[in-house]
Amino acid sequence: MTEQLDTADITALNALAAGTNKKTPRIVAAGLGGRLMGTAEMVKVTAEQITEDSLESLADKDAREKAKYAKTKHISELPWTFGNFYKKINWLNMILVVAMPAFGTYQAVFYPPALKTLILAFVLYLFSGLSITAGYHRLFSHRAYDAATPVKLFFAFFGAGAVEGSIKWWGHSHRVHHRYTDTDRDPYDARQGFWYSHMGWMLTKANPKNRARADISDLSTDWIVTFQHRHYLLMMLVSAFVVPTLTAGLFWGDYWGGFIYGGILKSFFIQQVTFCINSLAHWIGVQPFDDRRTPRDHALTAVFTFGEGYHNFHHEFPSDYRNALKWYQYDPTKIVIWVLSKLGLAWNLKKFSQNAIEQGLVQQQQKKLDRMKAKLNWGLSVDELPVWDREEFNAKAKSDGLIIISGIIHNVKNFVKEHPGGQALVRASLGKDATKAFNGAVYAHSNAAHNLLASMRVAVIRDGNVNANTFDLQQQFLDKEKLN
Amino acid sequence: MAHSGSANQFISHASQLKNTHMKEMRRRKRDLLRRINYSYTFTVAVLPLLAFIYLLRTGESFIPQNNDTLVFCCIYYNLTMLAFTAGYHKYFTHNSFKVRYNWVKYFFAIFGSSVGLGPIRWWASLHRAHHHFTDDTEKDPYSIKRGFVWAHWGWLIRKPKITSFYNEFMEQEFPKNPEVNAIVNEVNVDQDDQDYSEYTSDDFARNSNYDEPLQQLLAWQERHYFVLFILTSFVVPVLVTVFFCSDTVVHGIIYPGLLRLFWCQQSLLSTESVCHLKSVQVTIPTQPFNDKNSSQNCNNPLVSFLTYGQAHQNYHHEFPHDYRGTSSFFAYDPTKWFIWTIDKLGLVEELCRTPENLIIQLRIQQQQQVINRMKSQLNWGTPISKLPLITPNDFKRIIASSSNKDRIYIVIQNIIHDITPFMDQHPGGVPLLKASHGKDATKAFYGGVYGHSTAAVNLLATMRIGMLDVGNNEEVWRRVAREEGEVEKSDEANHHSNSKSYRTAEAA
Repeated sequence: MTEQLDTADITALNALAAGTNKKTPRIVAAGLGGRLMGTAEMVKVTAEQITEDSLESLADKDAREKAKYAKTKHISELPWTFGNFYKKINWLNMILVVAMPAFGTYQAVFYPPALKTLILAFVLYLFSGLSITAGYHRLFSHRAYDAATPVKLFFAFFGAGAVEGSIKWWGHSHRVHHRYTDTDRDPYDARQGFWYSHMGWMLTKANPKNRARADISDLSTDWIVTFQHRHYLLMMLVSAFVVPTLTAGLFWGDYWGGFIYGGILKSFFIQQVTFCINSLAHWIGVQPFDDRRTPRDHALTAVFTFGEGYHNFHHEFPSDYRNALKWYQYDPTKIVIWVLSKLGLAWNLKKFSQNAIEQGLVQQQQKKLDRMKAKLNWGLSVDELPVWDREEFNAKAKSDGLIIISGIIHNVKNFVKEHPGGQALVRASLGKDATKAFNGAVYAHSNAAHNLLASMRVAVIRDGNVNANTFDLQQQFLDKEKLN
Repeated sequence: MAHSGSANQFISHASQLKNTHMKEMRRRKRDLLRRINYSYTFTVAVLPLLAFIYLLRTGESFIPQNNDTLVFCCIYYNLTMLAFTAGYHKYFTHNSFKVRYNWVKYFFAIFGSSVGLGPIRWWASLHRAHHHFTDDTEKDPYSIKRGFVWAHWGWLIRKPKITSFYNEFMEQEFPKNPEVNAIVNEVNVDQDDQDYSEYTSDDFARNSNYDEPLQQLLAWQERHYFVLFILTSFVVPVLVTVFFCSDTVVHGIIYPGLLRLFWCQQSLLSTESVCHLKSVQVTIPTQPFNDKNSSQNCNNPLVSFLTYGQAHQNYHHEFPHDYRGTSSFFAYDPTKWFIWTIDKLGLVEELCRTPENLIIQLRIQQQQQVINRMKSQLNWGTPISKLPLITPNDFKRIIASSSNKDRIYIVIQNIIHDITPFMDQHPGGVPLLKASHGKDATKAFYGGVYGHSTAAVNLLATMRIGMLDVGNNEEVWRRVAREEGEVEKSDEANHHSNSKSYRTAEAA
């Protein structure tokens, strides 16, 4: 048959996946903000380039990149020196996530908080934190559910107050992270260490060699997202600083406290907590679903991150609105989404099938078990054993203490004295075929006994009915007996 | 009249029925009385009951008020328990070690009898029957299948139905007749043609546990069991209490005598009842080695304490000859400590320890079985061999038909998948799926666009609807063999010998 099916055009698909198929190229963080944050050049990549990169081997790619950048090195590839360190640093981010919190902490030392201000800060912390996890992350980045406009507006406004960028930028980086987890293209590559994935990636300039894109056409068509993106700076300032300052100032006259605690420190805490998802969640914990990649599940991370700590699950099933499956695991974001759905403000909550989830669990357990198995001595396999004639066996049986069980010759000389059923039985069987006696005629041996037996294999008898799986054999014998 | 006749007949028939019924009931009652095992009822029920009644009537405390008596009670409890667990259980029943001096055996035999659970021959052979026929409702003397009360107490109070079986079993395990070496002789006759010059009969005698002196010891203990029981349960406690603790005779009988007796019995009996019970979660039962029988590893440390360190029954049932109750170094296990100590003192030798490798192997096999069971309950997608073969032209026609307008079919590795129900859940979005509709997306799926996760591959398999017939049968069959070999592996508990790396051992 010569008829062939069309092969899906990978370049076209990549164009789709990267969102470069549109006539007007989508802009992520262009303009002043984009230039300052250094993201504009990180996304200037075409589908053709991505396809080329994806299909060739990493070695080829490395070689090509090496040749290309042999003479002109990007600033991120140069070593840190006194002369160039200021060029390597992303100063906008440095100010937003390091300098300002440092200033806030310094002020807080001299300015004890009012209780009301602290409560305000905490409430805003919850609002912004949940806007990041339930909104930015699960709603906008993963489309794990659909939400009503007021809910989206809430997320867009208070999410801006977390000072982590616009939904569009955040969602794009996050999708790239999921698409290229643990590769060079991963913006918060966990393989480069805890601090790199925590803050390092944003404090230094990224290497444009590792450009990547993900499709965010659904975000670009959402007016709330585009509106927030366009007016991000204003919204961020209002949500993060003006609102707490004015609230605290107008109601109980604590303008400065509102700014320090409700503004700067609140944003600082949310930032750190969110960064923990990229660092801590790839660093500590267990991997019950798949250990091919770095994401891990840990209760501690979950406590810090509004329930985003079950990251191994999340990377396997990203568009599931849950992160924690068990009732006792801490996932307030899941509960918030669920409550919203009960209020009719959210719908179409996505869940992966329990079957797929359990498959993952079982496969991972199997993997672990196989690794443990490989470490143990299970006796020689039948193919590895030499083949003996009857005569050879008879000659050696006396001196070596040999027994045939299911066609395999076992050396039990050192074991005779340890036999739990007494020596007499073993001695009686020396030099004989004890298959039936071993498998139930005298005593149906335990699994452990079969294991032990396998470790005493010496050879295979010629023309013997070899069955290496003596435990199966025993079951057959026993079943037969039951029938009789 | 016919009517009255039939009525009379009916009445006579009824009375006859009633008579037989009464007879049956009377017979059963008589049987019941005959089937009560009075001696054990006396030691496990009547004696403790008398002690309780006495204490409740006099209003005295259940804990001895005399400090010396209390200390003596604790010491005597441990002494008798050790004689029973190390002697009766580990030595006489399971041959976990060899005893070098005869007086140690006598110590076990004498103080073990103070627990009131019968002479060694009787208890040990019943216990062996329990290990041999675990969970068999007739042959297992304390099968948990007959209920908690039976496993705990009932088996002592009522005689078993198949008494002759137990008598024979006892005779087989601990023959009473002087021909101790019957088995050995038999064996020698059996192997006339063989010459085992290197194994001397002397060698044999030294290593066999059940030799002439031991047989005499057991016979002696059985003969004088009642005297020994009275001596160790009453005379010794009373003497010590009166002369060393300056307490009364009654207190000597009650505290170190009966209450200790009761406590010892409960500790020992609960290993067969509590530690075989799965339904009660308080004990935190697990079966890491074998879940084919009822024995449980009770992980609640309280149970360990109650049962004198014998709470890990699942381990014990798999490795009964191990002198330890469990392989864990830190487990609460006074018997293990005691045996280890007397081994270091040189009183016993050749302690039987299960090699760590064997324990891990069994643990792994059990886990494998659990995983296999879980695997078999999941949907792994239609196996390739059961998929309909569809030619590319037919497939194109299917796609073109208007009824399939809204569906998405994607071919990956020549298998046709119906993605429609999953469409909205696809984390990468619907447009990618739509663009791949009706096409071969193998490369895109495996890294061209995104290197999918294991979970994604599993999900994909559940969406199979057909196999694309591209004329390469060999390739198809190779995949069938590869994949369904695996399926078979996960379906059946037992692997076949064609799996390369591990064999027999990994069966079950």
